[in-house]
Amino acid sequence: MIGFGPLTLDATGDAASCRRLEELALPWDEHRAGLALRLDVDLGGRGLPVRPGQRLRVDVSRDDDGRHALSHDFACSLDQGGERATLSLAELDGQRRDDAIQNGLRVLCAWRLAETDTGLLLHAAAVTRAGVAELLLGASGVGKSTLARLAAPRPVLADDVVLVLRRDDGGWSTAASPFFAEPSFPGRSRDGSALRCGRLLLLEQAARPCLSDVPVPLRAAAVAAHAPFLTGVGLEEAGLRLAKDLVTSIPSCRFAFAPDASAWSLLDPAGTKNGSEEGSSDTLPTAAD
Amino acid sequence: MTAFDDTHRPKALDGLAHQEVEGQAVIVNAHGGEILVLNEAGALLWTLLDGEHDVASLRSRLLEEFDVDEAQASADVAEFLGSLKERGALEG
Repeated sequence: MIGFGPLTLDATGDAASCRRLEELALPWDEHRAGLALRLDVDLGGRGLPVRPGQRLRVDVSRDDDGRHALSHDFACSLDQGGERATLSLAELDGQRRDDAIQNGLRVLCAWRLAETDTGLLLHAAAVTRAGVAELLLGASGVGKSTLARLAAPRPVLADDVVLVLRRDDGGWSTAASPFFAEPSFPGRSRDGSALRCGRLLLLEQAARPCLSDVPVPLRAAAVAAHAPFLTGVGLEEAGLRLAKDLVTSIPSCRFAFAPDASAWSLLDPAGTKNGSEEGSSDTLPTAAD
Repeated sequence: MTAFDDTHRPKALDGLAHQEVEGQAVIVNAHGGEILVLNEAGALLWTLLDGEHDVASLRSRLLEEFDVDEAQASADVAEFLGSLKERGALEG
């Protein structure tokens, strides 16, 4: 079994493909049940319906066989039962191949999390602050990555894609996206640990920073809008339900910020040391719950 | 704005996911991926877009539930349906 965050893969396929998956594996707590998948994997780029050279885009669809995703560098499918998957890559080398593996696994992970009502994969950044994770959500180009980098010395969990997962106590945990190709940040943990999700910040840029309230329905819509791969494959309702539960469980607000070193000052109460204390590693909810 | 006859029975497109959140409604259009947030009046009307209720009954429900006069209710229903139509969220 090969662990990739919440996914636990029983991989079949050619030996080289399976070996590369094992090399890249980044399992979480081994004592915790994951979302088990039988994965037929072909990383060799043999006869695949992928589209090398096209820009990054993932088309998803659903038919009687299950859910399918097709991108410029990978194709993956998940059967109706949600337990058997395939992942095929275009002919790629090195980091491009590993990135494609990760992208395919992200799609499978997003589907499994949603259909098991376990969590969401979100296009968002996450920063550790005062021992919990703060989610930074916003449209492409709003400055998620910039704000994450300005957060130093706070550890950055991820600047692009994060997982939010239900906890047994009704709260949520945040973890870096699967699984291995995120940029390195100072303080970033690579042990797959997850932090309690402390707050959701809906980002927008403004000359004068401020925090303001956002109606709950708009928060839910914002979260759902940043949960990729669920629309068009019958997981819209599941995504909305998870989004609603997330925004009604954790504090959320709009954070208008200027992308400079002062951005985080508004978030750090006077007397704290930039929220930079070490985040306490937390355990993840049982994914199979 | 699209005109809707009182006898027209609007129906929401199949495949639209819906969640009620604090009295409002969040809708995901699976066909285009667009996400709509409806206020309380919109959320009420949304539940009636089943192909069974006609435009006149939608207006009546608004008059029953909200403090609006008939002219305002008519305008609100027309605007609501027109907006959904533009977004491809209604059948027909």
